[in-house]
Formats: sequence, C-alpha cells, structure tokens
Amino acid sequence: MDANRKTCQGCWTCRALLDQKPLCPSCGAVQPPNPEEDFFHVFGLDHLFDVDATVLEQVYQERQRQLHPDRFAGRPETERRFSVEQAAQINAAYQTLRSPFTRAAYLLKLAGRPASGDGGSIKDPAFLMEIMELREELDAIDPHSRGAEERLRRMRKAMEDRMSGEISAIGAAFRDYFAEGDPQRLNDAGKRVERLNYYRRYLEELDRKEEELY
Amino acid sequence: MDVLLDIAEPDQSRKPHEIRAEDLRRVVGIDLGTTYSLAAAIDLEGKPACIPDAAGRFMLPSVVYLDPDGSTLVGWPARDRALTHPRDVIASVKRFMGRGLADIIEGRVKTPYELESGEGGMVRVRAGGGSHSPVDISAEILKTLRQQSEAALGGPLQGAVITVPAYFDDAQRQATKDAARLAGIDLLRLLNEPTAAALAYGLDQGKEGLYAIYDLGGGTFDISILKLTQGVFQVMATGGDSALGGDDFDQRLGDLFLEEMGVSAPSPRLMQEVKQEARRIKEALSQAESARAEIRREEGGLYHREVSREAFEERIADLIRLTGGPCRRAIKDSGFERGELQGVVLVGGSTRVPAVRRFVADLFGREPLCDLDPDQVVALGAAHQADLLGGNRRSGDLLLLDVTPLSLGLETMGGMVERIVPRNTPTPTARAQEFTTFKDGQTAMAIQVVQGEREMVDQCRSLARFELRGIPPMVAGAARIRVTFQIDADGLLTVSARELTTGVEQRVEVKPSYGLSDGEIERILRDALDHGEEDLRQRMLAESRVEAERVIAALGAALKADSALLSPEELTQVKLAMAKLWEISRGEDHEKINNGLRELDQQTRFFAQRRMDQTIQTAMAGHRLEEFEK
Repeated sequence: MDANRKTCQGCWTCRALLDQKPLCPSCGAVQPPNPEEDFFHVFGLDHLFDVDATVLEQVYQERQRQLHPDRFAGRPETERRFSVEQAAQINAAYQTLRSPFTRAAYLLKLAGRPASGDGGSIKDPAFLMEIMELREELDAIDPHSRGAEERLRRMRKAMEDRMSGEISAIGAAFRDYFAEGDPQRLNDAGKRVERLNYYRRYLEELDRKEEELY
Repeated sequence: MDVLLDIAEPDQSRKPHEIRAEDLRRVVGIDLGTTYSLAAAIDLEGKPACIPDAAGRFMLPSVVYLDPDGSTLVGWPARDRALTHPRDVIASVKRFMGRGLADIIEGRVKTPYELESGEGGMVRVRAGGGSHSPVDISAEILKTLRQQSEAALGGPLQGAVITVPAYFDDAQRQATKDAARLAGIDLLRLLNEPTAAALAYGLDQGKEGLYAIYDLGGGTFDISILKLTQGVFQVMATGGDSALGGDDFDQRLGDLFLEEMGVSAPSPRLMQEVKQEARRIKEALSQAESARAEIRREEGGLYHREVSREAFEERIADLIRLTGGPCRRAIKDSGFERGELQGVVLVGGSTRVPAVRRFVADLFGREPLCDLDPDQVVALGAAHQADLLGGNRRSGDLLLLDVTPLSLGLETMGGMVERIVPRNTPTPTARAQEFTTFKDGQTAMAIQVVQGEREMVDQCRSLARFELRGIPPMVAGAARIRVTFQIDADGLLTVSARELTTGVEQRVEVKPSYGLSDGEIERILRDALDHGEEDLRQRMLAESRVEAERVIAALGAALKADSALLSPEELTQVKLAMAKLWEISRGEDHEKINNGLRELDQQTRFFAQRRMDQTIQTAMAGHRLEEFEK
C-alpha cells in the first residue's frame, strides 16, 4: 500500500512517475526508500537461503556506489537525506543477509513463521540441559588463569563447528521447503534457527570472557 | 549559436585533458591533530600534496595563544610563548573536545590550565583573561589552516574534509563539526583518520587486499581493519582508545623529571617546560640511544639527566601494551584471522617510537609498513576524499564504506543498556525501536541514548536524554511510539520519534546534548561577526532562509492534510503567521528570520499537538481493534 502511494505521488522533485527504483527514471534524483521493501529485493535476489557471499558483497558495493551519500555531496539537503536513508537501508539489508543466522530468521519472518527472539519455544529438555552445562563450564573459567586463552579458543572452535553443522541443516531444510513447499521442512528450519540462537548467545558470553583476557 | 560562441572562446587551443586550477573547486583535506594539524589538496597532476605555510612548513603545531587583548596566535609563534605565558598557551586541545571537566581530571595527562565546567557540562579553559571552549580554540587552528589553504589555492576555500579519530564518539564528532562551522569552513565530511590513511595507501601506493591501520597519534589511538578492492575501501572493523597517545608518553617522562627534581606541585611554567623537554627527549630517542634532558629549576639552577632509550621504553611499556586489546578485538570483529592480513600500516607521529614498532611487529607477526610519512598520510588521504566530495572527482570512482566505532544503546529498567546498534555496524545506519508506556495514564516518557560497550548506563557516555510528550492517557502498554536512531556518514546521530499511521508523520529531531547548543554556536558566530566577517553573516542568512522555507513547506503540507483540525479563525491565524514568516525571510536579517521561526513555532504548536494526538489516537484505535480480533 505504502509503495503504491509513493508511486502515485511521483518523483519528489520532477513529479515524473516512478518505477520502484531508488533513482527517478526521468531526472535521476534519489527517492526516499520504501521502508517495507524486503531485503532480498533490495539486492535483486530471490527468497532463498543459499546466498553466495561474493555475489552479495558485489551487489552490496554496486548499490552503495549508486546511492551512498558521498555521491550526493553537492546536492540539495532533501536529496542528501534520502541518500542517507537509502544507504542505511542497503546496509541493513547487507547486515541481515550476510550472516546465515539473521538471513534464516529473516526468511522465516517472510514466510510468516517468525522465530521467537527469546528462544522460549524450545521445549527439548535434553538440549536445554546441554546448553546449561556448556554455560556453566564457560562460567567456571578464570580468564587470568594459565591456559585460559587456549581453552576458550578450543571451546569457540567446538561451538563454531556445531553451528556450521546446524547451518548446513537449515540450508537443506530451506531448499526442500522452497522446492516442495512442505511446511514441515519450514518448521524444521525454524527449530534449528532457535537452537542456533542459543549457540549465538553462548558465543557472545565467550566473547565477553575473552574480553577479560585483553 | 552555442557552437559559434564555443569556437570564439580563447582557450579552445588547450588540450582537452589539461586541467586548469580555475576549473577546480578549492577543497582540502584537514588533519586536525592533537599535536600537529595540516591541510592537503590534490594538485594539478592529480596527486595529493600538503599545503605549506609562508615559511614552507607543512605541520602546524595545534597550539593556540590567547592574548588578553582578544587576539590569538596559532602554531609556531604560539608554541614559542609556552614558557612566558604558560596558562594562555593551549596545546593538545583535541583531548578536551566533547569532554566534560570530570573526564579531563580523571584522565592520564595533567595540564597547566585553569579548567572549568561550561554549558551542557562541557569543559572550558580560562585563558587570556576569558573563558574559551575547546571548540573555539580548535576553530582558531582551523582558521589558520583555512588561510594557508586559501593562499595556496588562490581563492576562498569551498569545502573541506576534516578527519577525526575513528574511535571518536558522537560528542567529540559534534564538537569537531561545530569547530569547522565556527572557522567558516563548509564541512564536506568528517572522515575517520585510519580510513583516510588507507585511502592514501590504496590510491597513491596501489595497495589492495586486507590491511590493518595502526594509528597512534598525540592523543588518540585507532585500529581499523580495511578491505581495499578496486577503488572500494570497506572498513571491516575498528577500535581504539580516544585518550591514549604520545602525550601520555611525554607525561611519563615528565613525571620522572619532576619526581627527581623533588617537585610535587609544579608551577604552570615548569609544567610547560617539563612537557616540552619530555617531548624533545622522546623524539630524540627515536633516533639516538640516549639523550640529555635539561630543565630550569624554579629556585634557579639546572636539573639535568641522561635518558637512555631503554629507560624511556620501560616507562611507557604498559601504555603501548594498552593498544593490544583493541587490535585483537578489531581483528576478531572483522571476521578475519591475523594471518589473512596483507599488511599493517603505521600512522601517526607516535609510531616513530621504536618500541611501538616492535610491539606492532610482534602483535601482527610481520614488519609494519610506513612507505608514506606517518605525519602526513591522513591529510593526504583526506585530500582525495575532499576532491571527490567537492565534485572534482580526479581520484577515480572510489567508494568509502565505514562503520560506527561504538555501540549505541538505550536505558532500560534498572539502569541497564539495551543495545540497538552494535559497534562496527556499517554507516549510514538506521534502527527503529517501538516504545510503550508502563504506567496507566502515562503521558510522557523519557528516553536516554548512550554510547559505549558496557552494560550499565552510568558506565557509558550519555548522548541525549529527551522526553516524548503528549501521549494520550491510556492503560499501561497500550501506547506505541516508534523511535528511529540514525547515524549518518559523518558518524553523527539523529533521533526522531514518530507516530506513523495514515500517512501523517511527526518528527522530533533530537541532537545529542553534550556538544554546543545551537544557541551557543550562534552566540559565538555573532561574536565573530563583530570582527566584520561578512561571509559568516551570509552563511547564517542562507541557513535561516533555507530553514524558513522548509518550515513553510512543511506547514503548508500539514494544513493541506489536516486543516479540519482547526476552526476557521484558527486557520486564518495560522495562515497569517505563515505569510508573515515568508515576508521576513525575503529580508536580509537572519536574526529576524530566526525570531520569526520561533514565533511561528509558538503560534502553531497547538496545531502540531492536535495532529500528534490525532495520529496517536488513530494508532491506538487500530491497535485495540487488532486485539479484539485475536
């Protein structure tokens, strides 16, 4: 609705009709971004979990080349503001799509099955126990003790391996879902994303512990 | 017709690629440093070059002498007066930018100055018989660089990129921006110093790949990890300490001298002399194995001692080690491993200290690079950016993608910080957050924005504290207000609160409260006016006119959408007030325009309030309906 309204209003400076692109096809002026636009669309990508990191970075840089405020330094205040807003949207899209976790969570949201942020929907007691034990082990490490750095490094490696396994499984689940439309596979991806969220929190705690090393 | 005129042009004969100085915008890059400042521009061959003063020197000491008669001296002549006028010669003022009195007192470096707390908690310096903000003093340095640049470029300066430490927070950036405004400089961009250095290495040295920029200056330390590919400079992570630098090294040596002299409360003169001597010894020890320090004692006679490089290094070893943490953190945040770096680049005068070089080599497991003069490289890089932003675009199709150095958060219950923009997020960036009331009938809510990595609000720096008012009384949790935090390409924050429903939007712009208030800036600008600076008056007039136009346009749009909220009398009254401002804005007096703006604001505030109420009520109505449906 919002996007249509904007299209009907036309370019803010020359009033020409717009075509959903960030620059006016007639006068080239930057248009305000559409806050509803989905992040895959911002980069001209399909809704898929598998995103080639190199391609993503290339498209990201291309978009920034076109819309970054440095391009509009000498232009009117309004246009500079729109370019800041456009560049901010491109950055938000890039930040979301470049990490597998945020990308998966975003896809779930688009598919109408948002992962709950607090991970409260995980009911598997064995999983929760395991996470608790991992955290207790981390808590017990004195960062100033001998060999702490090495132990933390090993724990990070173990967790990262586990996460990449989970990410592969999420990728497979999404591939099946997009190919066959099986809602079970979407549910599977959702559960795994929530588990991944626990792992991420664990890594954040590990980060904090490592900070104490420095 | 056009063709005929073209042929008649006298310089048809010149080669098409030939660049003439008069065709170029007069823009410079300025490195506003703690100890030295300098300006650079792109020359006719497309290469960056530093701009010399009348005596041919590139480096301008960042030192300002404030004479009781109101005049100032900047640079070398100011530094020469440090011993005769110890309290009126201000050095390293960059350390005071955007800082409160408490920050300075708790800091590592002692100063001989008389400090006090000013408007908004900002520190001020009592000198030359008056009170000066660090922004005023920095503006003096910038004015001198502006004059040098104008002499070199042959006309008024049309714009400048000014560099700031990457780790500068919002208040420090805002203060730098204010200083540019006071110096009458059209600021094209605040550029992070390590990013500027990377620009110079990328464009002038053809470096490509992943690089770490280790920038240790007089008062600040930055580390940035950048990816350089085909004209794209992408900062992957940055970190640092905005109160660590060569000044701290001097302080350590100075403390040693004072200790041995048996002086615990030195006079301002002695403090200045000790500081100068410490710096001289430090610089000498970058070449020599030992150097002889000499200081005049207060009671007469000479204190002297031989300082070996080893003894000096021992005294600063812990300070150098302090740079290690930010480096490791930045590498980790960048998502790369140390071994993936193509090189480490040294920037800043303090990287001339051999112990610093050894530390960097150890930390990164490779010999650091210093192909470009570490004192000049930041200004040279900034010149490229200025050339691009000024519209000359001779540095090719380059793109700078930087990040925000510090996390941005909000105060939540119990004084905890809720992080909304994590550090190393690419800029510009915008994040929206929805707020609700927690008490029945609550009509206002306070929002505090902080910057920093700690978990408690009082351990972070407060950027802005503001109140959202006019929320209609309703049950707790029913109100929904969307607050957007935007960080622009200068790294500066704007907060806007809005109720966005049926296409109606109310924006409240909040500027961080720490820097100079607009009123304060205007007062200082007006003081400058008394000295006959016509261009400043013109600038202020232009700014006021643009603002008046913006307000009139916005009010016109609001009337078009919501005139139904007004009685016919009120409508006439608002339209009259609008017409009056339009009339005033045709005039030449910016102060009248500003008064007119304030007046119009007062006369239409009830209208804005009604629109806000309406949108909030509409939003609530929609919200309740949703809840019914559930």
